[in-house]
Amino acid sequence: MSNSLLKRHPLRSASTVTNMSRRARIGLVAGLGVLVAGCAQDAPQDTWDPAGPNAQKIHNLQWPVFAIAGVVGVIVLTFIGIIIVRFRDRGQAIPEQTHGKPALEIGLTILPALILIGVAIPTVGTLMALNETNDTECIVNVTGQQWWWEVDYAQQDGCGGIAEPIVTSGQMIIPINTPVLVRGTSRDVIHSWWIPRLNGKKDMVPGRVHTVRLEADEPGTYAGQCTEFCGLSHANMRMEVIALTADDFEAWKAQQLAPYEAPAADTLAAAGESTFIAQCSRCHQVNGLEDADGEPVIARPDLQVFSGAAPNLSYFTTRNTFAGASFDLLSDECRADVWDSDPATFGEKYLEGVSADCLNSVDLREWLRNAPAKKPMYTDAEKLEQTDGLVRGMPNLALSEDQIDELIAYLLERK
Amino acid sequence: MAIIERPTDTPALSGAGGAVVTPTSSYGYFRRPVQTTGWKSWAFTVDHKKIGIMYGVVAMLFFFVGGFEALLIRAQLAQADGTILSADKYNQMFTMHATTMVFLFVMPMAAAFANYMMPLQIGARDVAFPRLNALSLWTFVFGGIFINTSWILGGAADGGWFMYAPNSSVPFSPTNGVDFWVLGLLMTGIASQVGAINLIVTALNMRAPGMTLMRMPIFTWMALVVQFLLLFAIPIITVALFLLLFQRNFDATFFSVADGADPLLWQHLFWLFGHPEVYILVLPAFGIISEVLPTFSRKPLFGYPFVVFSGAAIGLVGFGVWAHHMFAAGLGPISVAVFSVATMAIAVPTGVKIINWTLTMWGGKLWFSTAMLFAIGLIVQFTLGGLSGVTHAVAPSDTQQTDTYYIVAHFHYVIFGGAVLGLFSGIYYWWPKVFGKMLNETWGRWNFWLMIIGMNLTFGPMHIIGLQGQPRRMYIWTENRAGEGLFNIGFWNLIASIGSLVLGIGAVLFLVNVWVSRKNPPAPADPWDARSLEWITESPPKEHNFDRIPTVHALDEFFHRKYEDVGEDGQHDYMKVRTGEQVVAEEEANADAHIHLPSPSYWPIILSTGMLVICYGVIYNTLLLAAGAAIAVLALFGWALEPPTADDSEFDPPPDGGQPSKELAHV
Amino acid sequence: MFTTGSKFLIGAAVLATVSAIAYGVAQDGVMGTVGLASAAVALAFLAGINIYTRDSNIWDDEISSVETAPAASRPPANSIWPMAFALGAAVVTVGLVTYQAVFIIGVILLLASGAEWTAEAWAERASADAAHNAKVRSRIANPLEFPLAAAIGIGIIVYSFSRIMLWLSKTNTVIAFAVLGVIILTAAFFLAYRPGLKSRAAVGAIGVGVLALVAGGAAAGLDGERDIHEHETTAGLSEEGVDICLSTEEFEADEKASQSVAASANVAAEITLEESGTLSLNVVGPLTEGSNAITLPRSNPNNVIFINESDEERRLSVDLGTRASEEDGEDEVPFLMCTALVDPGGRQNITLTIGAPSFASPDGYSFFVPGVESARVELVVP
Repeated sequence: MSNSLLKRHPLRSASTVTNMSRRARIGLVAGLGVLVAGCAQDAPQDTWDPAGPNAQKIHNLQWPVFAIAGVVGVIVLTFIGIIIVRFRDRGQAIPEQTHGKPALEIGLTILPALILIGVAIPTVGTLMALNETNDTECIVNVTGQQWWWEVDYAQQDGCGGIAEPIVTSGQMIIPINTPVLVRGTSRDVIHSWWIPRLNGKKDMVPGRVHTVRLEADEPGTYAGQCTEFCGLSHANMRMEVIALTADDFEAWKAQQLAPYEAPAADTLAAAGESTFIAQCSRCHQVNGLEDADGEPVIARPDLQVFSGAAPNLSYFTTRNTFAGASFDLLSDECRADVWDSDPATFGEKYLEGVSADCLNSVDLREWLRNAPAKKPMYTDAEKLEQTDGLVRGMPNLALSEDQIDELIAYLLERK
Repeated sequence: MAIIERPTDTPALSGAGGAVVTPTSSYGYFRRPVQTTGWKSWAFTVDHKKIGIMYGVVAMLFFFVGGFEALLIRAQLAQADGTILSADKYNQMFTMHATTMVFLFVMPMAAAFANYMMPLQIGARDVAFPRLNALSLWTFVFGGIFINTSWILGGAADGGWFMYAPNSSVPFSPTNGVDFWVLGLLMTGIASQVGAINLIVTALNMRAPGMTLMRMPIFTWMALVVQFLLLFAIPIITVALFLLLFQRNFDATFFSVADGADPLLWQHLFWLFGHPEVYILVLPAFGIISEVLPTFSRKPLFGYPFVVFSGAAIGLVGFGVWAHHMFAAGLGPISVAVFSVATMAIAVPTGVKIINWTLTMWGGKLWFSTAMLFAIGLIVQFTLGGLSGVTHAVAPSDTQQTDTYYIVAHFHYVIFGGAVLGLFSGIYYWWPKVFGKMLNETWGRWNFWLMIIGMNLTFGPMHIIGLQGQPRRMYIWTENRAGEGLFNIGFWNLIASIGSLVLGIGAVLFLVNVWVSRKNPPAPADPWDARSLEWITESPPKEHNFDRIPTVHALDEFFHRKYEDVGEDGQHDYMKVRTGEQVVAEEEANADAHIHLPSPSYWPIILSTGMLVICYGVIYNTLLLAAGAAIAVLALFGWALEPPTADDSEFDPPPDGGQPSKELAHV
Repeated sequence: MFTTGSKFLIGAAVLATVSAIAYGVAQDGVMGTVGLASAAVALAFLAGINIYTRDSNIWDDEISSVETAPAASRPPANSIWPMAFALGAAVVTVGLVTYQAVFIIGVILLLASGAEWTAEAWAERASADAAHNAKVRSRIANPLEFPLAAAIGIGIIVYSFSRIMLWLSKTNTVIAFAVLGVIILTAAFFLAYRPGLKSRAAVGAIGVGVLALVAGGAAAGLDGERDIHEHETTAGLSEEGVDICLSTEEFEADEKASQSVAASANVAAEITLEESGTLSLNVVGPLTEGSNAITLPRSNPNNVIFINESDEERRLSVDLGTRASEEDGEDEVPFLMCTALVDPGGRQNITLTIGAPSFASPDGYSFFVPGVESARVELVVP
């Protein structure tokens, strides 16, 4: 019987078997090499490049566990490689029909258990440390909404003292070397706040308030992304944490609390102000904006948008991303200048904001021309029955090119 | 539907004048189906073997459907800012890819093996409830078709296979896609639940004489543990699906935050099901390779009791680790710590299995057939996947890894590298028994190596891009988050996409193998010199499986019938005294006198049809729902009133004359 | 093998299925696909029935039964179904020009009598033995008739009983229910202790009872429901303009209010009314010392828990400026929300979704406790 099967399986020869084991070994080495090579990047959201003490704690826990796992993996795979070579069918007799060796098995069960206990203890320790909130020196609130982040700073003694609430979106500015506590929630579905180089992620759940610690060692931009599937434009919901020195942070706060300056009369920006009031102020708030009668213009996005809010544009060009931080306000060169600058000059560059020379007018114009075409959102007037006619995202306002010019001039003055 | 039995003689009618002769054959076009050939013998069968084959064929079809969806996903992500799929289509695509692969491929394929092999392995002629078995099959088939019709009826579900609330509610998912998903999963859930009950009763009650639980083949053990997992896990997802169904269709407020609901309710319910689910996916594959490895190492499974108990332990502890899918969900440090430690604990019994498999091969006489290659492939790939799993049992580490491609890499290694490779191993191993032909070994090797290379090329780089910060479930990735240098996120995405093509080709080679092998000569009863009971049959088995129900004296009963221990003084020396064919012939010579099998029936497929109509009715029209309910009630009554075996009169008389009878021809 | 009628229906069903798929793939809308698919299902169902009854024509295949069939065959027995079918047709026609409900009743009657008629006609030709035919008919039709009849019967009884319960006053329903229970118990007692009781008597008594119930139900249904009082809520009262949120008195909305909160983790804030009469705040993370302001995000479902540590029943109210009045849409009325009265030591949750920012209101927003002057906390909504 086995002879006839041999004839049907001519490949069951020694050379193929050795090829297999050789192939397996080559594959293993190649794989490890590739893995190592793969770790040498400058990805903005690299989890193995911690830039703050919280991420560092995680990293200090992570790489030893990876190392142990790697060692165990190599041992197991090598063992299998040895077995494949050594015990292949060479015509030997029926092997000994061992049913098991309980002592060996129990031993090999206890050993991984011990290793895991060794891993468990620092795990619990790190976990508790990362959930500390008593040493907070600055509280920042974050509210996720389809598909952008609102960041606000409540009146508090922390963060160097904040007298009036500050509201911004897409970029969270924090002082360096300060334990910041992010208190976050959501207006609609579950989102997740993740700045990999500063800490792990935390889900932002509607109706609940979750906290996550952030602290940056050096000034710079720390990129992040919403990491809980939240619908159509989940991929386009990003954010950055901007860390500034204490002085730069004070300067930033002053910027965000500066009183409203109406544009000079008869300028393009003044026309932009009227266009803004007519087209945009239904949803977008600009603090201090007054209409022709001198009445403060109060945006009521809760009457237009299903989730109830829209980004506050009071100091729009002090930040350099928009539309859920998925597009840049800075042109490529200026952006590289800010993002890649070294920590000493970063704050100064960031605080310059977006000037007319550095404006990325391509993306901004496309957005103003037809926002839903640029970023998928639910704003089709015919399909809003399930949301009581309210939109989810910014609708296409059918603005003319002139109106867009005016608005851009007006927005460039929002500093 | 033989509900009309004519009396063979009628008492004389008073006042009618003269004797009345009534025809003796059954009247009515729809006799109870008794065909043994043709499409009717498949559509109305209750034979576990045919049902197992149909499960397998449909599951394989869905494998390629889900695989095609995956290829589209990888095509979209091969480049930055891809344009192959719109955001909406992409969201539907990854939802349906996962749903199809988990619920419509891996689970039914495992059910195919359990259905086909479990009765054979325990020496039974069929499962405990044959019509219920048919119901499971057809409910699954119709459920799978139902979910996939959503593609042409307004768009598929787009909330992810995990369908978190409140994104699954109507304002955030306005199309009917989620309703299709919910109802389709309710149907396939019924199929699994009913099958679980069936197989548990079968394994506990219908074992051959002498087969104690600790002499049961290991695949049957793992399948039994899986059925218990299904028994307790499916009701949980059913509850969650009902809550969502009522939320979406009948204005319930289970997941309405404004009315005081907590969205984490869905997550807990889903993952309480979801975690046992992943063990449901992988344990059958573990069972399969626990059969394959001993056969091709010519040694028994090392530490059979340990493998059994670790399987049961994994099943049990699997119900206690669900919140490791929620480490970033805001549970609080104490809960997270508890689940983190529990998750590490569950790595231990899994490690035990790897040790046992490896030690099974140690000291053996290894025959590298394709089935064996897949089995060894499982050990290697699952080890890698399991180790990455341990790295995210560490909860703080998981807050960096969860919802990134690192997790995608992990579960594809354990599901594809674990469950799927195991299932392919089983296909190659049992193909001669099921279909009576050998599969071509050369094509098998190509199939295996391309799948392994493709798999590692696709999912290996995902570890890297996950650690570099690429989140999951994103329809595009951008250059300015991709990092510098050649080996950045973009590079690895491209590699992964190329790998997916290789993997796809490897999978297609399986179909090529099937086609090319269709004209092979018949396979012997025991091509692999195997060890367990299912091989004491012809290839393919006769309809009644065993001519004589075997009496079992030991684990690996078949092995002990072929090999005798002629050693002395405590030394063991096994010598072959019979071939497999001789053992089969011996059974045939002592066949049982009367062999009765359950008869086919219409009612299971009619009931499944009724359920399908109900599901369409929930979405579209209440009258349709009423019609479906009527069909279902009718089917239930018909089923209940129908005896398990058909009356003799339902059968056509044998061609050589004589009385019709349900007794099968003797061997 | 297949009769002509069956072939036609099968072909039509297949055509409808293919059209449904083609339409669904090619076109955008769902209604067309659903329509064609429904037609396919209906045609398949009819095809099934027709195949089974073989166009009510047995002569096609069963030559042997023709040859061995008796010379004499019985004439069909009396049957009510043709008349019911005709009645159904008439009701359908009437319903087309009057009420839709009548039309639906007619359709149901048509379907039911049609099905019964078909089953009866088919059963009568099964053989010449009437007893056998009756058995055959009951074997086919009973599995459908019994559950449907039971469902309808139970439905009628339950519906009648419910109309009576809704018509009686609240206390009288309790009495009626108790009386009914006693009657059933007594009747069952009699049945159990008098096995010799003729079934006709029992059926008669039950029939009388059911008739009385249905008559009573019809009468009560026509007379109309009693006035059912809807419990007031604080939100409802506040919208109507009742000053519940400014008051310390107990309203109906406060009775039976819950005094505890099931899950209290991860809330936006806990506001405690201390014994000293001030409100203290508890939010995650250290706050400004002695801060008297809390910031909540806008348009967000914020959960705030109110804990009453004072000695009196108190409620927590939120002053949200003004809003347009419901009546004329122009007048500005105060916009207030509040919890129900909380017992000393109790707690309640209030979910606040605030659409307008606090700087829109001249006095801003605040939490306060009516009746306790010193208990006021500013609410900032940026």
